[in-house]
Amino acid sequence: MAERRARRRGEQSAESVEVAETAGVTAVEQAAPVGGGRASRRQQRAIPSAVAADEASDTAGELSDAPGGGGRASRRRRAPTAETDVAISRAPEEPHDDGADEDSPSRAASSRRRRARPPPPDALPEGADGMETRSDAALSPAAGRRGARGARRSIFSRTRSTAAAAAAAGEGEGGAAPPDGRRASLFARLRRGRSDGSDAGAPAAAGDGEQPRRLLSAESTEPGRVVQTDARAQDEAERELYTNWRQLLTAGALSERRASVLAPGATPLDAAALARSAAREQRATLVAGSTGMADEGFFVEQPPLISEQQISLLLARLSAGARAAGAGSGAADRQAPLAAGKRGARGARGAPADARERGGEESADEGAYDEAREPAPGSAATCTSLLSAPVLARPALPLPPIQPDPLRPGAGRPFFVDWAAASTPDAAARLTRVQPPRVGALDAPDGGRARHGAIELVVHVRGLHLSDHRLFSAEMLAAARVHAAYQTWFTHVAQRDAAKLGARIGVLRDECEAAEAQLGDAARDAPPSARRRGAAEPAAGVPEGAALADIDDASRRAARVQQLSALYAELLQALASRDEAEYEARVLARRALVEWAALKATRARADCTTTSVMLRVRQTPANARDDEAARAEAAELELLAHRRAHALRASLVVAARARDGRADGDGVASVRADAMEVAAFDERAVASAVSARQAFCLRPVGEAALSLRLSHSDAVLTPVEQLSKEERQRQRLLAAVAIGGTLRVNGHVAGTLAPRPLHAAELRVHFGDVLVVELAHPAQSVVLQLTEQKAFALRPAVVGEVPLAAPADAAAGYASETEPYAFCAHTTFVRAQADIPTDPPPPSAAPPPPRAADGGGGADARAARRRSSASAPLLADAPSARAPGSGGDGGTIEVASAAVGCVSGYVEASVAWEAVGALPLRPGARADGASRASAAGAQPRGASCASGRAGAASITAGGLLNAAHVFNWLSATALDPNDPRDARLIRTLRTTGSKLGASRAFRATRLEDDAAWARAADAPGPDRQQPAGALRAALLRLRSMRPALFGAPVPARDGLVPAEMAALVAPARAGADDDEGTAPRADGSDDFVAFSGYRKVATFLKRVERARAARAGRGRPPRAVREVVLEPADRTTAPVCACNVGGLVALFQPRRPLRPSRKPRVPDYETTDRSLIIGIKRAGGLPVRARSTRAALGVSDELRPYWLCSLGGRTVRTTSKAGTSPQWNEALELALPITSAQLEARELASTSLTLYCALFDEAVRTHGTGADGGSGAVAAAAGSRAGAERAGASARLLAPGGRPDGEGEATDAGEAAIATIRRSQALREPPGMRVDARRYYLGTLAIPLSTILSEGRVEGTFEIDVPPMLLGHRLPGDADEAEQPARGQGLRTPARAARRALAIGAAAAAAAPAAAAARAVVTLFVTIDPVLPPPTREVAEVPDLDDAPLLAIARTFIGAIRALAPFASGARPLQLFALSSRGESTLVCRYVHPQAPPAELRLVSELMRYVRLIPFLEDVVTSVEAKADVWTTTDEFLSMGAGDGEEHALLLCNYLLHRGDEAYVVVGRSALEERAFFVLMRETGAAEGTLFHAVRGTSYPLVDSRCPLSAVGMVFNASNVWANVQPADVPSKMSWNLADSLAWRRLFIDGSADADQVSRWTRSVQLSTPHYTRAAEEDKNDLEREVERAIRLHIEERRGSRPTDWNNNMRRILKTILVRLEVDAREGVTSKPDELRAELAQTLQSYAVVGFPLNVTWTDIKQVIEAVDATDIHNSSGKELKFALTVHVVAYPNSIYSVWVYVAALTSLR
Amino acid sequence: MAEVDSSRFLLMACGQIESARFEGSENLYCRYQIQHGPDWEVVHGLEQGITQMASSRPTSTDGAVVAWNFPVDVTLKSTNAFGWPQVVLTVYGDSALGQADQIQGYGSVHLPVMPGKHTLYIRTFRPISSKWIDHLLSFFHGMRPEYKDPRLVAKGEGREVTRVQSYGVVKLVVNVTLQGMEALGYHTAPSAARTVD
Repeated sequence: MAERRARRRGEQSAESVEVAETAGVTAVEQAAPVGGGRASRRQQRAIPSAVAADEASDTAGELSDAPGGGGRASRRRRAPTAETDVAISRAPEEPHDDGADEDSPSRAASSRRRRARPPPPDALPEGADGMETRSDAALSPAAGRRGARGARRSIFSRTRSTAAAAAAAGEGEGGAAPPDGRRASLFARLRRGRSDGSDAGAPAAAGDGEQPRRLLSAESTEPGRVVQTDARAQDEAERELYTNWRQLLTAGALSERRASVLAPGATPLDAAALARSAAREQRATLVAGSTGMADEGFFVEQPPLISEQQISLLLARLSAGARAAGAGSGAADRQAPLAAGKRGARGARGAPADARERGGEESADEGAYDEAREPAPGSAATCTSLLSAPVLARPALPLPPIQPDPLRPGAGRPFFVDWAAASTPDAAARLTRVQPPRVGALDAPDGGRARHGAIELVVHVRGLHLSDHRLFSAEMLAAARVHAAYQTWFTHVAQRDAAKLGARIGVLRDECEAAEAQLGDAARDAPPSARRRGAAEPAAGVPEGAALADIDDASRRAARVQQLSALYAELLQALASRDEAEYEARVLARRALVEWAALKATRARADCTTTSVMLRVRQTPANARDDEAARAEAAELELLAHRRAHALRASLVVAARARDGRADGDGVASVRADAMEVAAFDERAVASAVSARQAFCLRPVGEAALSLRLSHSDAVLTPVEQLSKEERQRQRLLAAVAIGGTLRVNGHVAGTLAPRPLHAAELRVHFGDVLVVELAHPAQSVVLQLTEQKAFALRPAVVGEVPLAAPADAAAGYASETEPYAFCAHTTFVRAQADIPTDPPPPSAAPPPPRAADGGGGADARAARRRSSASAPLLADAPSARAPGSGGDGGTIEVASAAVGCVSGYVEASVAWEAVGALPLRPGARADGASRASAAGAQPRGASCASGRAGAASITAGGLLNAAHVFNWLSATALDPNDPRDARLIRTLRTTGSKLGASRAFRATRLEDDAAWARAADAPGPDRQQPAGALRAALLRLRSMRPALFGAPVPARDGLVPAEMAALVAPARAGADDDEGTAPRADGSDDFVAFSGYRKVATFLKRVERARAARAGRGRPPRAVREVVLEPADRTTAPVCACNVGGLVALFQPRRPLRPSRKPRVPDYETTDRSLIIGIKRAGGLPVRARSTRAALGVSDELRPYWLCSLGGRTVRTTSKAGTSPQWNEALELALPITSAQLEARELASTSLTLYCALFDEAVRTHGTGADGGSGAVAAAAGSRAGAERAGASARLLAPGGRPDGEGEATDAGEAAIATIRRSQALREPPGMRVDARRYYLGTLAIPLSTILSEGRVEGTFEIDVPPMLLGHRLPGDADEAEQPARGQGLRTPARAARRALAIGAAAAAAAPAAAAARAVVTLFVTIDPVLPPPTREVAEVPDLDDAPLLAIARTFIGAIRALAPFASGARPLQLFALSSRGESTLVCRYVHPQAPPAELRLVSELMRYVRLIPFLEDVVTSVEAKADVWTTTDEFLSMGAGDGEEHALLLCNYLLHRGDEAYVVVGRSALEERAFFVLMRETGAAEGTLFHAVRGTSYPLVDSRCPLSAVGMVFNASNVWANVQPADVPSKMSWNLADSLAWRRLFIDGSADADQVSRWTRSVQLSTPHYTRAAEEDKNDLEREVERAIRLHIEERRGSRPTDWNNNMRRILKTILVRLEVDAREGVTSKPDELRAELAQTLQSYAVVGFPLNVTWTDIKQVIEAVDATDIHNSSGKELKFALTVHVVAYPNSIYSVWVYVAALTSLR
Repeated sequence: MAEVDSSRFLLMACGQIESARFEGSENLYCRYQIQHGPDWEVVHGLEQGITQMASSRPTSTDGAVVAWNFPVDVTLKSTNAFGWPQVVLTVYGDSALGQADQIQGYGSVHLPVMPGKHTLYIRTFRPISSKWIDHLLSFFHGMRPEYKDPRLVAKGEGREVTRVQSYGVVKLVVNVTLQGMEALGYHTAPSAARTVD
């Protein structure tokens, strides 16, 4: 059992398509017995051919059920769907309508009025037998073609009308049109010369005769057809009429007048009928969005809600559209679900009978019924040929699954009602005129909504159809199976519709013919029509000569040829599918007969009949001659089409060759010969293939065609008294079965259905109840619980739960159309032997239930599953299995196999709701209707498929596909109205498509998945759109590889993926583009985010932060126990064994208060507030004030420097001291803007926070209103305590004179004076006096916070980064001011010679002293308080390598080195192996490898500059494991665009190696770095060398004692590692002779290892040429603009209320200077100060300029702003203060940018 | 809930860590952590918690059962079933030598994927020392080796290097509710799966 259940679950994944199909089938099936049970027992003799029925039924509507709701007229609304379908069939049905209306005329009339439709003409004189019609309702084989929804609707209205006999007696039948009857009568009338008629059509036409103008225009589109209609033979006329009509209906432009014009030859009756139906069609079209009534303000009824089945239908149609031509099409077609048909399952006999009576003539193809009253022998004989049909040679022809999933209710998902968008018409307003809807209202679902009232939910439960129950007998089960089989046949006949295909073939043939005529190829074969009709009627009379003359243009001709061949292909396909359709119909009919035989056998065995199911077989005797003729004609047509298609292909080939110039000048003859050459047409092969297909597919010649009908007849039932005791007992039990229901809304009981008895013969329970629930809130779920009262049970048991679907739109009140909802009980029952009523065994055999000998165990299990389901498919149909009397043991087997079942079936119910609100929105006009129709007529039929696929691909570009889009797209698609495959789609489109557009799509997400094929399969080439979920899948794949990239969950759908996450995938796709630097970017937008360089770095920074966050998630899997398990020994050693001796000693030590001992700083994580302590000790080598400054400002020449330290926006400053080598000894405190948690996670390392210590020179002037005031102030200051003596000393410096403007002026007067002034300024400024403290920025020391954090404490002497050009100051080493003009500015001139020498690669030793002298330095320390615990870096010195020999060498080496004290203490760093980004331990030598720099960089200084510009980022950040420093390869480094010391050093080293220099990487310590990497370069063999610090871009000769490198631990290059074993470890004091084994110990000693091995160990991990991307020159302008804008805004913001004026005149000058400075930096030289000064000379005459160029490497805008902020220039003040700002960006390869900012504050000198 | 957000699904789990049975151990407490995949987020509730210290009653018949009845109530949301949440349990208790906070057992279990009430018994284990010296040390100190990261027991990586000893069982009762999985295409089993046999 468990296994079975599992298998059943497996089948649950039935596609929705399948479910839809099943629902439809079962619905029709259910309807049949219901209708039939009610049907009269009158026998019908005349039924037109199934073929005719099929064709007609295409448009046969379910109008029949239109009046069905008359009993509840007040609530009833008609759905236009039904009206649409009514169209054609309406015409001949009038008699029946009359008949019905006589029963309840008022109801019918009122119903029609409500529908705003003219009253149907009651004028047809012919007597109609309503009862007859009813008796055959639902029996038309064609009636179910409309598919799930429509069928359901019609059926249920039917059911209701049947069941609610009192209310609906006689109703509902009126509109029933036996489609074949319609056809027949049409024929008859056409033949009678259209003389017969009635005047009834006229009023109807008049009543609906609107919009004549449009009609005329529509008419003008197809004049030819009208003419043709007259010209042709009558059958042709009929067909033509039909096709034309369909097309025009599609165009939505047909009205009654049009119809009458269209069929001029038709009788007035016909015209009227056509008109009426056309009017209905049109109305439906209007509802669907065309102009017309809706435009004029009429409210037109709601189209029905589109169901999910219909949507799946659309999609299935889409997939069908993708099928290939030829035989393969059949299979695809079969996948299409039952369409949204609206065919009423109406009787098909009335009309033929009527036709016969009237016309007295019978169609030749009308046959007699085999009444099948005595079923067994008769039908068995009938189907002999079918049963003995050859076993299918072709395995393909899968039949559509008709089995619903028993565990999953078919239609049972509630809609998610879009209450916001829904609105309800007032009932009274339905016929009133309302405001015309806005055009394009599709987009405004809430337009016109007024208010939101209470909601009335109306649930109509019509009945229940059971397909299994524990009390069901074998016969009942068999009856259910007959239903199923019949329905399958019924559906397929409807779907594939051989007759309609025939019509289509005719149209295609004519089109081919017309096209041939146009083509006018003289040598072509005779047109098909000529063959068909004979010479008497030549093809359409198109003059060939004219056509020939037309074709002068080869390309036009080629186009036509192609079009024609497409037509032929279509024709061939139609021919083939017609045969296939017939084949399928035969096979399915056979299956139905088999089931019917089984049912009869069961009845025979039981010797009684307890179900009323009757299957009737109609045999249409066939004339062998006619058959043969028809086939021969078809074969001939096909052969002809093949031949022509071949010839056309050949001609295309020839044309192509002619274009190629190969057939020039030889004339037509040679071309034609060429064509013959292409490939001879093998006529015989084609003919044999065609005849083979015909033989296979078509029925044998002369054999009667079969058509089936299912009906219910009480007459067949065995009288109760004849039944066996057991059967009577069972019936008693069945009669006691009462099924009720409970309606649950949102889980609460909202109503109950009283238990009703089960109608055993019809397997049905009738409810006919309407439950009205008033709700205050929208219903989320509406569930119908079916309950069955069992004996002795306290409360009824729940049989099943049916979630009902509420429409998304308010459908005022009662919904007339019920839908079938499959249900299946959760519990199964065991059909115990005793429970199965045993019929009296027939003498011959035990009574085996129908599927007795079904086969082995697997088949049994399957059969059991099927039986438990709602409708059993009949797949295992070996005829022998049906043989009665298969033995008594067969019966027992069956019992065992059928033992498990579950109550299942369908509920026929509908849900509607109503809210008191405004009118619903009508969709806007659909404008493309007419054009589409004409397009459909003109273009090749294949176009609909082709354009369809492209359209499908485009629909979902936005990501989420919804049904509204599908409809919009389909509306724009040229569908072929003649194609039976398209018919349903067209109808659905017309009726429901726009409705869907107006409301929200239901379950659009499902559609997204379903339509993925369209996007995946159809988009051609590289532009192919990704299928749904592709992006998400790509992201998930990426995350599995690189989890660090992701910080947030990957959204569930593509459409929800945020842009930045999608960008993670995008680079991989556009990677190739990136390499060439041609990656497209958003042009013309100022959006800074679009800037690629920024994005790259920003992405990297984000990624790095995420890497840290995700570090714990994934890394190298642990390899050792110690990595995972904390052993007791690890924890116990320290606390247990150590006793605090030091504490004891301290206890006894004498206390010396005057000599306090230093308290050890205890690291802790507990403190939340931490601060940075900056101790600034002293500085040296500071610039001095230029004389010009002194003169200009009147200040002393003594420098008054102070420090301003800023971190994260907070600043502190020191006092200002005097002199160029001042001593501060001040400790500043800055709060850390970082939380404790971040600290604990060491997240600071990833922050880009930088401590800026900016050095300023403060020049103070005081301005007073008079000299007295000023002097007084100064005097007061001088008198203050702190600076008395200094003030006295500086008094002599006071400038005696004032400025020409008379301002009193006092120069600065020493430290104390300034302090005092500052104080007094802060306290109370003397009136009329202000102090002007002018500040000059001198330089910055920037220390990344990450460095401070990782080192814990930074202490030492550091070089100050002095801007290359200072106005007003000069460096001490610079030339004296005597050289400069009086008002010139000082310019920093570092030792040019040294740098020049560097630039050309020479040793710079000679220039070293000069270079050293130029440097300004500061001695300071920075630490964090409270101190942080030192970071633990656990780098395994000797990792567990696989390579044992290397490991041994490394261990030996390290062991020997560690024995030395400096290494043992860790003072000298030593690192042999580094962790690569792949998590492998890699020998450091492998990172060194000559690498080509970008082509444009050649000089050493350029290389240095380039490497230096690559942003610095702590490696701890980038590492996957916290405790290891990852060494990335240079390629990774460059692609990431950031790295730390070793990456920079390695890159520089590799570049130098590539130049041919001798280069090493030196590992040591520096003040700022625990592990500093320098590059040693020297001339090959030379003793002298230069050390480069790649990150800072500085260079030091080896002998330079100021080189920050200390404690050199090791040196390595590509081949070896040298450890520094000499006593000295400062570069200037060391021996750099690496060959000296006393000073250096090498890792690979010659001879100690095999050379091959060494070369293997040192095989490089680097690429010889890293990937470079072109320097994005075009980006730099964006960057410049953006940086400038940002700085401008920032300065303005920082200045707050102070005015900020900008001087834009200096831009050009400053830019020139910046350009120059960058060039200098690249070339390592400094321009002559005069040259730069000359640029500014003019400005300097009128302004005092405080300004300086800043250079930063580009990471993000924040960094630049921070650097500008550090200069504090925004705090400038002065007279007529103006700011000048210029930004210059230089792009380097790999999106590395050097950003120069020249910011200046100008004060007027006048 | 007027608007159903179909871009994620919710897993609500509430219940309690009822009790545990660790023979020979007294004074146990338990720490739970919810370990989940990258697409999961905790919407409500605590991702981890530590129970009170509970002692078993020596005289009781069921011996070493300690009751915590510690509530676990967490709601997670996700876009992906991958990384389905697991409950990682770490039981600490006094060692034989009376040292507190010694590891008694690790265990983990996925939260049930089916809605309903589930009673889960989680058998726990604890690592054992890899070297005899550590055995000795742990014997003398009464300290047991433990995982550096308890979440290791919810992962597949790195377990192979350890050796463990089974010890104890924890009873977890949890009620699970799911929302929105169907909308994302996951097929969940019916809430009341009944088998008929």
